[in-house]
Amino acid sequence: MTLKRKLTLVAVLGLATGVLAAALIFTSNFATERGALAAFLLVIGWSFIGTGLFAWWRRPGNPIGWLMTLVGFTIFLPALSSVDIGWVFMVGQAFGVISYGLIIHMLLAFPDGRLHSRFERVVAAAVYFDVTVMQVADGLFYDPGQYADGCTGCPSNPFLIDANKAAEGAINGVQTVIAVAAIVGLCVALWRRWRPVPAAQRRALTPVLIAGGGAMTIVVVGLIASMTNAPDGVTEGILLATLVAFAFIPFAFLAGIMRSRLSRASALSALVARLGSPEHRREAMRDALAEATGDDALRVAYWVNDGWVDGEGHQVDLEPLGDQIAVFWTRDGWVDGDGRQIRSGMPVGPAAGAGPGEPIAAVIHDRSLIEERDLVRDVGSAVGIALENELLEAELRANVEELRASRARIVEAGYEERRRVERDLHDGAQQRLMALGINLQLAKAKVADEPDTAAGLLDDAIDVLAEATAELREFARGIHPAVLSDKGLDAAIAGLASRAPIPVEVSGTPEARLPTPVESTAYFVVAEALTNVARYSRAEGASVRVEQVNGAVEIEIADDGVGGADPTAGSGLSGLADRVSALGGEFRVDSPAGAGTKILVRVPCG
Amino acid sequence: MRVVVADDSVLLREGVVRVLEEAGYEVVGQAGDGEELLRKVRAHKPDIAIVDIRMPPTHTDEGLRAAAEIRTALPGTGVLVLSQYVEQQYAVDLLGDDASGVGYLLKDRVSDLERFTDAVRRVAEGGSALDPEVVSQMLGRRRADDPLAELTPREREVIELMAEGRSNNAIAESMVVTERAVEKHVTSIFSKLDLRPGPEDHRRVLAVLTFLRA
Repeated sequence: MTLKRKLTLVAVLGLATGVLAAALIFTSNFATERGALAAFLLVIGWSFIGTGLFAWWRRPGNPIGWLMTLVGFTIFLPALSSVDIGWVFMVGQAFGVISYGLIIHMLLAFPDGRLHSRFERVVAAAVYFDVTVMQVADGLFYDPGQYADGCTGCPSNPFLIDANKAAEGAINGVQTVIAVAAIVGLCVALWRRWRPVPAAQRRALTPVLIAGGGAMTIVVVGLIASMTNAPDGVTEGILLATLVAFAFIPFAFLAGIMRSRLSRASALSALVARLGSPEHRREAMRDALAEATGDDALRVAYWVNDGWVDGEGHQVDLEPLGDQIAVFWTRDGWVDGDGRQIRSGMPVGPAAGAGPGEPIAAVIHDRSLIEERDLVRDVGSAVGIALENELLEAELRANVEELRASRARIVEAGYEERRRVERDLHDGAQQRLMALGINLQLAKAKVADEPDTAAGLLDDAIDVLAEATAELREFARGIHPAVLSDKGLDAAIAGLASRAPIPVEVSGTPEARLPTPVESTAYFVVAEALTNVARYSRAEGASVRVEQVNGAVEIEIADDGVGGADPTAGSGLSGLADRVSALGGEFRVDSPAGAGTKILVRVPCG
Repeated sequence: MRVVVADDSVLLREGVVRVLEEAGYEVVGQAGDGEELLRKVRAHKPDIAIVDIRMPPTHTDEGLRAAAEIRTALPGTGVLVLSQYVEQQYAVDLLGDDASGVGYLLKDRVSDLERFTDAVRRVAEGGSALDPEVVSQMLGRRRADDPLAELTPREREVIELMAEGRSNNAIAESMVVTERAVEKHVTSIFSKLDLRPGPEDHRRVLAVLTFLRA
């Protein structure tokens, strides 16, 4: 059953119970002041049920909600004492005051629904003892007909042991003493609770504690008044005040909840502002969190080099935590210490420590904050975003650093390329052409007198010219192969393979044309890799595979040579890596010594 | 006249040797790098060394450094540096404050057989030879308040040839005028540029170059 359906059902039940209680009162043949009694029971009972259900809905993990609702139901119990059946009447008598016990328990347990100290537990136990055991004991000696004020038309008590007014009075006296002591204890506990709480949470506590403590004080006054046989007017006035004070309690709780939401909203906006501020340091994050949650002891730890440290870099121990618990921010969201997702609606993924769930940061906070679920969730999201930003920033910085380095390398590679082009031209074709010029000049000088020598010089010149032409052709291909532009990667790689000094098996080259930068990069990767194979690998064969996979080109060049290629050492390989990463691709060299070299490249085609 | 030729390109070196031999020079040694060049020069004591500027191992300015060493170690040996490109700075470094027995030419000039062999002889005899390309680079530089602007086109032609290291006789031949006419131009140039005419051609070169560099 969903929470909403459950709450709806309870609400319907509460309405029905109230109507039944009113019906019992109005059909009673002995009850007095029926209207007033019914009105008070309904107002107080339904108020508790209504506000209780609201609290239950807002904070499903907090018992306060259903405690309040239960109080609402028990408020109706005294209506049973309007029934003209002996045992029903006595059940109403015996359990009519149980609501006091629940209210005191509730006040002790506000706001997280838990009793925190032995003292609080003793107070609660005493109260429950008083409103159940003592009340039932009282019932054994209570004869409604013979009661001090008398009860005209009340049914007789079927559980009566002995209509002993003295015994009943004694029990009543003890009951009152316990009640007074318990209420004083409650006030002490509330004061202790309220005093150390930070301002943000005080706003939520104050109305509840004032209304609850006030009502209980009035109860004490009433009890003392009844023991001292105060005049009827005083007793009635006190009774009225008690009822009014009780009527306020649920609304005080509601106000508490509303205020806690209000304070959360302001704490949260302050938190977001602080986390977003430019001077935000890691310790500022802790301070902001502590303030937003009202938990001064809160700590934030970061997972650095396999250990937890705080924002200043000091070591943080996560064991033992005592009254604190730790939650962990991972790449997948918030998880608790056991790697379970935190039940707060935050986006969470696999357990901590499981692969990508490695912790990034931990927030160590007071156990009671678990109950402040909405607050924790909202704060968690804000902190998550801030941590995410920090992480992204760190990654970005690393990327920028790498980008700067690779850009510098690409620029340097460009210059290196120019130097190489210049040297190739200088040492090659230029020398040949000059030699050619000299030969032609010499031949020209000889042509008249020594035609045979001239012819020989011209033959030399023709040879040199042929060499220069071939060299220029090779050179131009090295700069950018025309076949790549004209015919595409398929043909260009086939050409590379056929010119390689060892057999190269080519498979899967895409026939479709790819974007020019992708084609060029793929070509130069293969060209450089095959050059390396020929130069260093001592391989007997190599293979080239170029495939289009999911909008990317995958290039693999493998050989059966000696391996041991170091991608960081050779400028050729690192230059290739830079070219590939400039296109957003990946570059990997797998070259164990003695087991061949495999270069894997993936370049996106977009 | 005895020559040592240094160039790491065998093809070109042999071309140069052939040209020199055709012109009646005696090539007594060939070298592929700076060290070998120095060894051969010390061994053969040639009249002139013809040196490629860029040689192993660094392929930068080995020729220049070898040339400087030859000039200090064996004064009187002419050094003609050949280069694929002309750089004003190289010429300045090479000439230093003594332009005698120094030449700096584009490699292309080798195929102009007569001019090349003429330059070789000039340098071997203690004169100088500066590539017209360097000279025109220097002349082409813009100056504020340029005294060169006052030169007539003829005088400009003369100063260029003068800077190349030519003698009045050669300038006259090249311009197809009388030597007397060249002398007149030279006097006019020197007075316009406020220079003191030197007695020897290579001193004249230095004076002109110093002016052009200023």
